[in-house]
Amino acid sequence: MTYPCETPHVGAAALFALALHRQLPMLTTDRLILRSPRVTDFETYAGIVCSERGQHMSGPMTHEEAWADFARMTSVWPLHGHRLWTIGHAGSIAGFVVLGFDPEATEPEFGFMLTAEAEGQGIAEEAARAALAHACETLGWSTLISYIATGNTRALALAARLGASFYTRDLSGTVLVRYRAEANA
Amino acid sequence: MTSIPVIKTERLVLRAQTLRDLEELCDLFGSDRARYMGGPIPRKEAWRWLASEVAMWSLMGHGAWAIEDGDGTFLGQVGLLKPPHFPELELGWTLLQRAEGKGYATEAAGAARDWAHERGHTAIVSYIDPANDRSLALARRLGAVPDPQAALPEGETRAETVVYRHPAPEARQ
Repeated sequence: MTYPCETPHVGAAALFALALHRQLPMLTTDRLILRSPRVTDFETYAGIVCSERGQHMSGPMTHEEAWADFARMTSVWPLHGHRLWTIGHAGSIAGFVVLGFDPEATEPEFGFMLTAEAEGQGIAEEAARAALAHACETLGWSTLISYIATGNTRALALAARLGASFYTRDLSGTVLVRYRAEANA
Repeated sequence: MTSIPVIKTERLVLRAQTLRDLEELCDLFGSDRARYMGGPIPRKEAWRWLASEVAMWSLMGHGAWAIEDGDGTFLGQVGLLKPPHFPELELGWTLLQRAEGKGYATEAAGAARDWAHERGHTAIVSYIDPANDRSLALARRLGAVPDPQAALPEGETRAETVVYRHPAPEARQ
């Protein structure tokens, strides 16, 4: 079931939300627009985190958990000026990028998730390069980490292409990768 | 008086606008649907804006067409527009809600673009709000690609406007 909170409204409030959205940063690459989330992005977000593809992000989630997660990640924007980015690709959503601090983290993290349709086109790499450049140049972070499951060969290969260093985190086989600012210059 | 060319596509007719068409478009410009055009736009300003796109035919040899379906229902407009603040010729579209979801915009815009190519216009862009997913998707369906280097309309920023460039005639063969 789709609830009113998940759907776009019309009228003055919707225009106000759009005006706020336009105030937030937007990164443009050759094919993509990385931007702050809009409520219409939620359907795609839920589509990913409620499915098999969401297993690496403490998923798969229920629909209600997905909304809570989406709203929480979006709410960090006015607090810190970043967090969940939607990857826009010619009017569709290719996926999402996450930058920043998890609740108990001591270091900023980079993560991404794509829709199944968006895979195999170099979109993750294009989005990652833009997000990491923004993190280093605008947010001023000299290092970011990612946690990647050992079985996630695509993400591991991408991290390698992006110049990350690799460390094994724990016995469950999660790999900790670290990006440093100078590696992406 | 310049006669405005009539173009027929598989399902549509592109023809000169009437005053009634402009009134309907002014209604649209004053509504929520204008949020990606800097709207809602006050009626006086909307009327003059739309009328200028009709006047472009006399002044420049191109301009806005009304789009009509097989039953004669007005669906919106498509145009080749170059007001003074546009650095390049723009292929632009505004569809009424009733026209959505049937591929009409793609059909009309494709025909307008082809007409422009036949008249030697090879550099054609669309200026699109980055929040306007429908128009971004339409530009992509027409084969246009983002051009981050393209000049923006005067007074606009990259937060408000993404430029999509339409393929030149040779590129489409």
